[in-house]
Amino acid sequence: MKLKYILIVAALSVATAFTMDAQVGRRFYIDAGWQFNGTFSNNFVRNASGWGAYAEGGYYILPHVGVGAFASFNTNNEYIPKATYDLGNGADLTTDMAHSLFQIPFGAELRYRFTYTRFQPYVGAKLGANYAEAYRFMSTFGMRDSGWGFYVSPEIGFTWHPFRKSNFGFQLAAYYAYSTNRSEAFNINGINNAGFKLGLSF
Amino acid sequence: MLALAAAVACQKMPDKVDADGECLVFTARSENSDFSQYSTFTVVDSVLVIDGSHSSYSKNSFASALVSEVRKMMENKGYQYVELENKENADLGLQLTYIMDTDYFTDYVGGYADSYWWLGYPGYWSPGYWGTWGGWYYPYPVTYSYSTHSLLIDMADLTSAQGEDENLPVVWNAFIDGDVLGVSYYDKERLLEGIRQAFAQSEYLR
Repeated sequence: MKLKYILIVAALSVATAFTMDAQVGRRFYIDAGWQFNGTFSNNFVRNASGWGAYAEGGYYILPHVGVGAFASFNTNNEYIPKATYDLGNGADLTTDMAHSLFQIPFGAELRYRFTYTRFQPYVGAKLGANYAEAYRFMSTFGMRDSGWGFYVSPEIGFTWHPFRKSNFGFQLAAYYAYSTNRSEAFNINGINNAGFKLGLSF
Repeated sequence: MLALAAAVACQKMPDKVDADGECLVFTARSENSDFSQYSTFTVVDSVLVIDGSHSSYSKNSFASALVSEVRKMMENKGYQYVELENKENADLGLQLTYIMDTDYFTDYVGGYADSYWWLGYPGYWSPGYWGTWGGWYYPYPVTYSYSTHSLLIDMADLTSAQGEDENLPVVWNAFIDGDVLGVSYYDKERLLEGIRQAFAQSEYLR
């Protein structure tokens, strides 16, 4: 009799697991959408903008644990009003200027989802490379520097799949990111980012 | 690669309309010069205009306004004006060059940076205009290149020793650069403001 109960409970557990998994459909995921990014704690661009987008995809190797890849891009611009700069050696410069920082991070991601129901809160971590281009525009002049850095980004968010028989859903997440990009020309020593992203989830 | 190209295509550059539209003003000086030791100056009566491989000296109202503003700024600094025909009595000589377009840029020639490309420009001011100097000399580094539609002001030390083997030192210069709007009045006003800014940020003058 006892064995019968155990078998029933086990069967129900397996069935429940399959049912829950079936609610969210496939084990792979693809998310893409709009990204709002702010850069801070640097000497070049301290501004936030929505000129960005992201895409990521992966596979849940365990019901809660997924691995995948990601890529995104963002532009952050900052206008610096007219000022006079002492350049040393008896030189002075008066101008307004605009700084622009364009970043393309990409790499691998690890995701842990707390549930695999229609509403799936998760935490994740991204690790990869960040290609960054920095620009300074003054009057008719433009200067540019570019380089690579390591990229790491913790993230928290959720996907919501409102339809019973479809994996289609929505994603909202917030993140922090740090990359080791440097530029002597523009006095950049590491780039701090924070932002959120809003997109579709499949 | 396709994704990278798509991302780059979405890059958002700063919009030029956000800029204040005023000129960039760069000044440099000889740190070995004591500008209080000079008391008199003169300024050329025309502006050298460089346009591509051609150059000419302009005395039109636009050029005259620039020359007059330089004279006014120098007088405001306390220097006494000397008529150009008596330039041998002046301590300082100022010359103006307007670069409409140029085929020359700062470049590496023979392994070194030819930062002073404008000195060799066809028709450029000759040190012989001011006296018997054999060449020009900048006693400080000039590390920028000039772009189109920019105004260059050189201040030469006319008290330095003359001779064919001597170089005439440029003890101060200003570079004023900005987009040309195509409306003469506004372009002139922006350059005049640039001249005023050049002298304002050069507090060491007099």
